Amino acid sequence: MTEQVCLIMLLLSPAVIIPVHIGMSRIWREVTPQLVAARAVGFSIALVFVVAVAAAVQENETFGRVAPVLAYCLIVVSLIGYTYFHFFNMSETARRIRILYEIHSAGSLAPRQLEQLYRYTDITGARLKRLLALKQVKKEGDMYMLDGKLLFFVAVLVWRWRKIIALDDRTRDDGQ
Amino acid sequence: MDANDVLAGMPLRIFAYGFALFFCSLIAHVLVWRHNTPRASTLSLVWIFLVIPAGFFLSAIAGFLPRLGCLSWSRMAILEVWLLHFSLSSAYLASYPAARAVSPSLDILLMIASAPEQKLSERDIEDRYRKMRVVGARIDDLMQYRLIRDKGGLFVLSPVAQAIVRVFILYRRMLGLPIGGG
Repeated sequence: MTEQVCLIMLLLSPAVIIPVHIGMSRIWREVTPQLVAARAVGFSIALVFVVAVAAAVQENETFGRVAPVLAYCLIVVSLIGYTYFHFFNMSETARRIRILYEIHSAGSLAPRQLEQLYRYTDITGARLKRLLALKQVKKEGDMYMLDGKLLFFVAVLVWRWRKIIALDDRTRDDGQ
Repeated sequence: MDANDVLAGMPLRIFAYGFALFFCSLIAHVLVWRHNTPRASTLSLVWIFLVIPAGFFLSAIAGFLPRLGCLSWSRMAILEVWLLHFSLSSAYLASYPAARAVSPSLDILLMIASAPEQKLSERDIEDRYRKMRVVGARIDDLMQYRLIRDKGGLFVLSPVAQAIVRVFILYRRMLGLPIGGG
């Protein structure tokens, strides 16, 4: 029974995360959107996990029987939450989506108009602001320095993975 | 198969098969990419991680494949293996654009770390971006996926792209947010 409840909750978890995120986003308007999304994902993971634990308690399952099911539940819901966070981030920062939106708003755009809409100061400025808010960089005078280590660690991992899958520098400016 | 057997014994095998299938997809991805990165790389990843494995799982559920141990499992157990594989694959697909492009935020951190005194001004960072085809490369990409087309020197959206933009506008509106700054 616990396993069935877990599976149903996992399949429904995107339908849990989205309303939670909508609610939190409308409550915490002054907080960075990424932080709100991260909180919504964290809360939804906890909610799904608590329901799974409650189902196990209700069924009087032994710890030995239920532990792998709960571990499975936690892994899958965390991965779904992580994927959702990236989907949100794409809506927030992806340049391709922004380009599509600009063409959609204007009906049609010339290549030059598109280049002008997209200023380099916007690209770097928005990201530096976000990194400052996330405490991953700090500013002293007009110089930026590393602060937190988490995203830098991710950046190094990503850089190493690029080497493994043989993505060379020609594709560096070809993504998100 | 008794339901208690499923609860007692299956989960560990479900972990093993779920992770093993994901690693099979990952190895296929590494081999294909090391041989030659596909031009439509995101679409290729969707095939490697989602479409081909989904075909395998559907065949297993329908009982088309010969028995290979796991194929004698209940449909629920197969669904659990698929869900683990699917969630691992989705997480990888969501992370891939950052690896493909070295996302600007991560790139900025690497730039700062590799600077002589591990500090950079906003101007230094902007100068580096000026040297990249930040917009042009994405336009090429969108054209390759047939999301935009050139109509007499002007870019217009394809019907699929129109639908994608509407979904994002609706999503952002539900969150009470304006469209992202990109």
